[in-house]
Amino acid sequence: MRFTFIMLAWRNIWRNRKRAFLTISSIAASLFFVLFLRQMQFWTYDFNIKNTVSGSVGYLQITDSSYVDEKIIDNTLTSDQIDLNKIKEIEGVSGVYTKFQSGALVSTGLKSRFAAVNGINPLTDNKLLKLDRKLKKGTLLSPDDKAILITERMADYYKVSVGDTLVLMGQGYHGYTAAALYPIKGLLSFSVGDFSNMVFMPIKEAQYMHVAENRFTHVLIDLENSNDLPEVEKQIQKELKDPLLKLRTWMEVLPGLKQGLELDANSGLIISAILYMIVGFGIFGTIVMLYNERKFEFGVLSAIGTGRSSLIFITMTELFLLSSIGVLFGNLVAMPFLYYLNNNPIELGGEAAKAIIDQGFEPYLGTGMFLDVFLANSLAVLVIAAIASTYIIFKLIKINPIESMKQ
Amino acid sequence: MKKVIETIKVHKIFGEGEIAVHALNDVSIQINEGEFTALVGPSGSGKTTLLNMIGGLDTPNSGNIILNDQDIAELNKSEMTNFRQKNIGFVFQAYNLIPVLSAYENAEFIMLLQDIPTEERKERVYKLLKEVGLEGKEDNKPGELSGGQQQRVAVVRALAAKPAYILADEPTANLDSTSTKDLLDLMARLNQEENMTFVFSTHDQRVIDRAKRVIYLDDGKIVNDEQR
Ligand SMILES: Nc1ncnc2c1ncn2[C@@H]1O[C@H](COP(=O)(O)OP(=O)(O)OP(=O)(O)O)[C@@H](O)[C@H]1O
Ligand SMILES: [Mg+2]
Repeated sequence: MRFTFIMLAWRNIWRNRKRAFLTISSIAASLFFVLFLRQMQFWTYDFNIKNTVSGSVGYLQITDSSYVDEKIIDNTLTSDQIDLNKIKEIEGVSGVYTKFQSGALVSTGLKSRFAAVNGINPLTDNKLLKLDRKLKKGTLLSPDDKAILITERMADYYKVSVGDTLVLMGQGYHGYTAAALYPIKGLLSFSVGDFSNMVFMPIKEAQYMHVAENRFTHVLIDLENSNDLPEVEKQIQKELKDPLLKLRTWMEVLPGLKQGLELDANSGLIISAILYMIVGFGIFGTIVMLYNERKFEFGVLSAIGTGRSSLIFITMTELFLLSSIGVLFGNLVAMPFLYYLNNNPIELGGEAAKAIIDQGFEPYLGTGMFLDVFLANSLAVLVIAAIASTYIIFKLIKINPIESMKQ
Repeated sequence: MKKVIETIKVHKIFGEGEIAVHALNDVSIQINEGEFTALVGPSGSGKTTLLNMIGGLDTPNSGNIILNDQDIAELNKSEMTNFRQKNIGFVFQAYNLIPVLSAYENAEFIMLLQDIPTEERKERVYKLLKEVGLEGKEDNKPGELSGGQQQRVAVVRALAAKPAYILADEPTANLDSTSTKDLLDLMARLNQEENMTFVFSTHDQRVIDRAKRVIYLDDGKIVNDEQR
């Protein structure tokens, strides 16, 4: 009996081909746009997190717990506090880097200003931090250099260039003064983020200057896939034997970034909601039309003894199949586009790019292939269809064969 | 002989006050198994209203209706639907069939609701479709059948489910004279051979002439009840 009902529902869909086509294409088109929008937003979200945190903050970072509140050299770590090899072996971890960051007063004698000092490992960081792409003048650092890279903005401020020297003065380990003279080896330009006052030097030199050889401010951990964050976090936590160590996610280190991105992602919800409303009204229209067209038939079926639950089952199956076809097409049509842009993000230029850069993001446009975005939005359409269908359920619950068969 | 339909002092009033219509006024009838009864009367005399009552599709304002030994006042809406499925066959004036189902599928529909096994359904439908002259039309959709053929499929659908009786409200109203004659021949034959009880309403004198019993209604009252 169920089989006949499902078959009946299937054939009923195609009774009015034009209506079926319109309903299916309106569902598919709306879902297509919602998927495009959401996959783009989540891709941007992911992309910006990756750009911002990977190599600098890390998806995860380990510090001494005192360093969280007071970022001074006294609160740094040594490498024998953590077994870095164990952490490297954890599944999902793509890289583990020891970092040395501090701040120093940078001056030429006439002018001085505070800047962040970034001790980098030139072998990995030139690539990871895309320093090769950001270098505007001079050359990149080598591990044993006793030299620095500064930003173009700093060079403008101090009126210096490659080959000139700058004085750095800061606080070293255990009260030592950290002071040294460094030649400028290269100038960097950052389009994104607040990197106006930043000095890069080889980590060894940074440690030496701060009288903190073999010490690190933090260990940063990068992931292959941002989705693995919670699991990797758990695994690393297990490896941290020293109670003085503190493991934090990028969200804890940079709460502002998360909020900014979430705000952006939420703005997409309003557009999604509008598209969903169009879907809802479209389906509702179909349902009202369908009911009025078949009112007489429902009357006959009820008169000859078809129970209300059977009538509801037949009609709901039809509406479910109809919406599912729409959902299927929406996904199928969207996928090639999403897949293409996922592999080939477009670099934007002109005014649009400027606006994005001003917001602190990279000017790229791509789309994700996030399974949960596909599933959640497909499900949302089906739920909306189910809600719109309650109209016909109410009509069928109250069905009166004589009334229905009146012409 | 078994009594399959009984109405006792049935009143049906539509509307209230000034505009109230006394569609059935103190109607008491009994119909036995095997009868071939026509309900006759002018337009608005209450034929459809009475058929709806004895079809378990509507309830009276007062009086009792006992169908196949069941007082229908005791049944709720769902039980009533189920009762119709098991006991009453219907043939309406037109558009009886589901357009997307074939003649065969339409004919077996009620049996499906009754959970009758496939083999038995097949046997009954093929036999009956053949009897009504629709052999070879099993796979045709209603749209591919004439009005008279559609009405015959509706009769087969009702009959195949083995109801206690079949009700037909002006079953020939939309048919030409040949199809009308064919359908009447069919119902008369089924009445004779299978002892199936039929109650139908009509305006058509040729149909009235074929009835074995004619109940005359006027203004909601039974004015004559004639056995032939
Ligand atoms: N739902 C209703 N609401 C109000 N009045 C109704 C309703 N159904 C029937 N009536 C009235 O009840 C009376 C009997 O109607 P009924 O349909 O039973 O007549 P009928 O004998 O079948 O007529 P016809 O030969 O035209 O089919 C008519 O006056 C009709 O207007
Ligand atoms: Mg009538």
